[in-house]
Amino acid sequence: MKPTATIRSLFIGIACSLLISQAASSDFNFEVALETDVHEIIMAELSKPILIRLKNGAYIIGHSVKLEDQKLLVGTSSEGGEARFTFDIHQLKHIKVPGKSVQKQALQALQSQDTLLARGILERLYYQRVNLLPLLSEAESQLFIAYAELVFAANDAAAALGICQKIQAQLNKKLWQRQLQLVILQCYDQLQLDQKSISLSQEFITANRWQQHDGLAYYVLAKTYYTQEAYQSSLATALEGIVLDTRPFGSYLNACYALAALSALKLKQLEYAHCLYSDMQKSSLEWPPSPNPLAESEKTLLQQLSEYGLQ
Amino acid sequence: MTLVAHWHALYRPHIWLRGILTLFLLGVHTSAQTLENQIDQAFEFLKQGEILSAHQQFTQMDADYGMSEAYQKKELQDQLRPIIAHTAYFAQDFPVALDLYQKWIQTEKNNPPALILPQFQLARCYQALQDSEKACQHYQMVDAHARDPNDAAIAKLYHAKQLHGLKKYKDAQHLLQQALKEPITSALHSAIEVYALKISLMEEDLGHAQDLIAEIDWHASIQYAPQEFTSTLITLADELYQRGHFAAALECYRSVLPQQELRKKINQAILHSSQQMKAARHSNYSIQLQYAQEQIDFLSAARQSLSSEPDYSASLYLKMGQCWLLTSRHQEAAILFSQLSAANFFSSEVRSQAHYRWVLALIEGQQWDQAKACAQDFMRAYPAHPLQPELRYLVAQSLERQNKFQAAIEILESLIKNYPDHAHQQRWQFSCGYNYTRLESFESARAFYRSALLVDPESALSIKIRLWQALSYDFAGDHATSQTMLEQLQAAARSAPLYPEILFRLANVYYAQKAYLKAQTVLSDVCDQFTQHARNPQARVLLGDIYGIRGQLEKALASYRGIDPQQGSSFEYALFQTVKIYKMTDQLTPMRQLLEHYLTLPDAANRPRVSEALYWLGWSYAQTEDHAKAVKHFEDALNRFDNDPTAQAIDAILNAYQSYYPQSIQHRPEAPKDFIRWLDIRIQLALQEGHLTRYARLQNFRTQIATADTTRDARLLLVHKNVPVERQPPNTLGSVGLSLAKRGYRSAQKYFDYLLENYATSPERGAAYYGQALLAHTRKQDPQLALLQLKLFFRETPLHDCLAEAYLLEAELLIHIEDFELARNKLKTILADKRFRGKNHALALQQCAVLETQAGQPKRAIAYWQRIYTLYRSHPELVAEAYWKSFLLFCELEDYIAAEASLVEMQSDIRISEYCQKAEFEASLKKVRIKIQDRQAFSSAAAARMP
Repeated sequence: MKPTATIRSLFIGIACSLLISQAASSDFNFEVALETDVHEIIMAELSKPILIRLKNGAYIIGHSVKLEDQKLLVGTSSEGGEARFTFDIHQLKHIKVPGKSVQKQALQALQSQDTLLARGILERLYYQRVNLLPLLSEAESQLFIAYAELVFAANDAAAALGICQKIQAQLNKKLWQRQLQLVILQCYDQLQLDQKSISLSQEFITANRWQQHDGLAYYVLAKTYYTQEAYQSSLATALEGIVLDTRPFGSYLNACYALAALSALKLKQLEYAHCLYSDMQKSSLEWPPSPNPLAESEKTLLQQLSEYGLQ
Repeated sequence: MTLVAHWHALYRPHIWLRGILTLFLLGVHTSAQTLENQIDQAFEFLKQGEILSAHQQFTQMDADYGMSEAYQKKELQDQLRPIIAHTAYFAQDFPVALDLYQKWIQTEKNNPPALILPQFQLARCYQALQDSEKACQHYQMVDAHARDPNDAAIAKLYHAKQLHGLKKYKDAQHLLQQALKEPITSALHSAIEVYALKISLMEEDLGHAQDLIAEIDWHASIQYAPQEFTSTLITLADELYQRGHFAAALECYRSVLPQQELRKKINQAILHSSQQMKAARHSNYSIQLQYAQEQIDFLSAARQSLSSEPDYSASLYLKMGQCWLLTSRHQEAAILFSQLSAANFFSSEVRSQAHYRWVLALIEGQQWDQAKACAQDFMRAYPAHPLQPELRYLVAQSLERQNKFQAAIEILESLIKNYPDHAHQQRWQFSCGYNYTRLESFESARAFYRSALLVDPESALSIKIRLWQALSYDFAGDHATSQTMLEQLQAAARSAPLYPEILFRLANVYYAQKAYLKAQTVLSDVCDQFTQHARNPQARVLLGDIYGIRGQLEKALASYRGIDPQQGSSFEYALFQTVKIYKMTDQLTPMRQLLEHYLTLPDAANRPRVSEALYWLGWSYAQTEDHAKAVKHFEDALNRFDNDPTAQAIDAILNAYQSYYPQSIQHRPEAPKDFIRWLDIRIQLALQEGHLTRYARLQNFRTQIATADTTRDARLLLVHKNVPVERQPPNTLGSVGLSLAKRGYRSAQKYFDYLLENYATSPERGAAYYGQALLAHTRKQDPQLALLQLKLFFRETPLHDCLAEAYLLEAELLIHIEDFELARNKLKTILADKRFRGKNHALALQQCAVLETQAGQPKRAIAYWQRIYTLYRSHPELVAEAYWKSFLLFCELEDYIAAEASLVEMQSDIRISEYCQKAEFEASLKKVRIKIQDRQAFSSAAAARMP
């Protein structure tokens, strides 16, 4: 059953949503190249038509779909060309996007920590549905937090940030919002967007102060203050990270200790710097290794402490 | 059926029983239909999880068919027995279960692997029947024969539990340690580790507990045994805390999960065990299944009780904060307490406790203003809180530590008045007395000491009160009374911890009265009997000084030598006293050895007087004309220390270097030809290279060596502009601060604050006291505050360079507040002091004249001005003023001839004329001459009218 004439516009021979068509075409360059057969299976699944059900009971099978200004643009194959329909999203009852099995594959790859495969699958999945996310369930967007994490881990903080921004509005659950905020924070930190780092980490700390977390927000905030030479603030923030994070959770505990010791050194609190460094050693906390920007500072710290007979 | 049994039956999941049933039922064949029905019925009960009904059914079946051939059939019995045994066991009918397990063992006696499970269950039955010895025997058998190390380890764990019940703690620990060596699952490993830790705590074997905690895998323990590990950690931390091992306690508290997190971890652990059981649902019932089931039971019960208990997290955080505080980590403590006090989801009691301790942490960190503000917030937030008086007392203490004694007294007096029955009355009264002592209001202090003693004359504090009572006389100069009181106290407090302190103070009082022999005797006691006491090095120093005064230099040296380098500033004091003795006695070699030894101490770089030692070393070589070595040491000292704000004797080194500069450049053609040029180049370089302390020092030195240098203040202002206070040494802080204060600039205050805060023992703080007095007088118009600052100056730094200026300012202030009599006495003292001869005496005379003018005694005032222009003509600016003031006073007295004479005399000295306003001078002279003429004309007319 076709939609009514008032909501229908027809374009023959015009390419549909660029994104989908590009992604589906063989000449589209994905960041992660998968084995040909894997790629082809995934793309075959993702290129299946999208099923759209309208409130008036009409069904449309679209090969390309795009969301633009509250309007849904659907391209359907027609004899010798393509028809394009435009709907107001309020008319939409349900949309079924192919790719369930691809999602499962992605989850399996994530669980087995095959990060490259996971990133490759998620990348394809992301391009397929990124523009439709507002129409899909929250869980669909949640999956892409892991994608953003993988992209960030592959040293592309800007792209990861872009992904986070795309999915941010779709996530309402606090837990997922927290996860996403932490990825964004890492991106800000990597991209040295200091003001954004400060405001997001402050917001995160205030909202999650008594929750157990890994101390990333404290670390980023303290490091930003430290690079801005606001040593009193960096010391106080790093100490808060140390004090409020209990040991089993604090993956950034070592970094907080390192920053606290370095800040104390800058503030001429040499004995305190020594004390914090000793705490790290007693607790078998490793100094943040390279590529962490603090990695090289350990030598400076030790050198200065030894000049004052504190080592 | 007991309630417990009912709960047990309901509570236990059915998965594993179903698993067994499936296996056993496949092989069951009976001949009698009714018997089969009964078996079916019993199994049906088991499928439904109705253990008790199943057990009853089996019991009934045994009663009904026990003797029947079909029932007695071996094949049936062998298959039924384990099921009936387990059913009896879980129905908690342990005697029946025990009997059945024994029979089971009997039938399998030739098949050791098959014996493991019934042996284990038998042990469990004995355990349930509280026959620990037998339970142990059977666990041991399981352990000995088990093929799976996990089964053996579980048996060891249960065995250890029984052994511990039998008070065989060591054996239990041994067994557990053996189990930990087995290749077992992480979950089991954690459970055993945690149990070992738990029993070590129960047996108060704290050392072993700490060893275990150091080895334990925290992550695994939290994952697999969250509840046990958490409660054990809390117990261990509490125990360590009680015993004063705060750092170790803190380590444990920091690893305890907050309650909300613990709940999550318990759920995860239950899920983990359940998954294990689910995976094994179709396998034979086994020891490991039994163990996993018990873990689930335990964790489920823990979860239930956790939700009914109050949240322990708040108390955990409070204890954690307290540990930070008690390990001198006030910054961490302040952060934790401040966050806790603001966390609205904790109870008001928790928040108030945290707020109170936050104040404590701030006080501990000497963040006085923040502490005060924080305390005020507390008082506003919790006006009726029982900790109010304690907090007020803390605030008073913090004020006391900031030397704000009057403010502290106000709080203490209000406490004393408002809480008359409080347990701390005596302490408050003592503190009040102490603060009055610091204000030198000795009478008020003594009144409080007396009333404090009345509260409880036998308390531990009373000794301290009596000590301070005695000291108040000493401080007031009444050494005799102080001596009497200290001697009485000495006799009464021989076993008190304060006894060595009393002796030391008594020796000081003897010393002040020049009773050196008595002081020597007492100090010898302190040195010999209290070798570890904090006063020991100071006693040795004083003893050395007394020997020195009495000319017993060898003994003095021996006394100084007894002080260890680790005993703080006394060591340095003694060392430089020794240097002085060597200097006096021309013993240059031992002097050099001593100084060289000092310079090679392992922590020499951190020693406070290294630069001074280098100076004396250089000086010693200079005495033997070894200029090269002398200069080498001076240059070494300068290069190493003149950029260090805390280094001492730099000016002395510069002076010495100046003396030997010509010799030092003999072989250095590139060096500047004179010292001043060298100094100026070094100043420029210091600024360019960012050696700001050096820059400040050298600029300051430059102002001192060129007295005619009119740019003195300009140099100091350059230091003010270029060098932040924290990079300045005490002497430039003093001179720059004073230069600013004399101009009335508010910025001087930051120099004085920094100086007093960071160089609390430096003699240069005299500049701060004097400068603050100047600011109080000129900017704040507060003569009383200014006088208080001068009082501090005279008491703390009586030898400071500003002494004369301070005396003069004091006199000026006394005149200002019209305390003329005291001002006169002070000025007389200055005039009698030969140290102030010259300009300072002239300035004192100037003050005398001002005083007499204000006191309405112009003739006396004129006499003082006359003394100035008669005796101090080398100070034309003062002479000019003296003439002018005399002129004005003569005019006031209408003695115009004398007034004219003053001006004429003034006019005759060309040097003075430059200090006059010429036009004003001419006009005044003209006016006074007219007055003379008028008066002469009047006199002539009057004479003419005379008959």
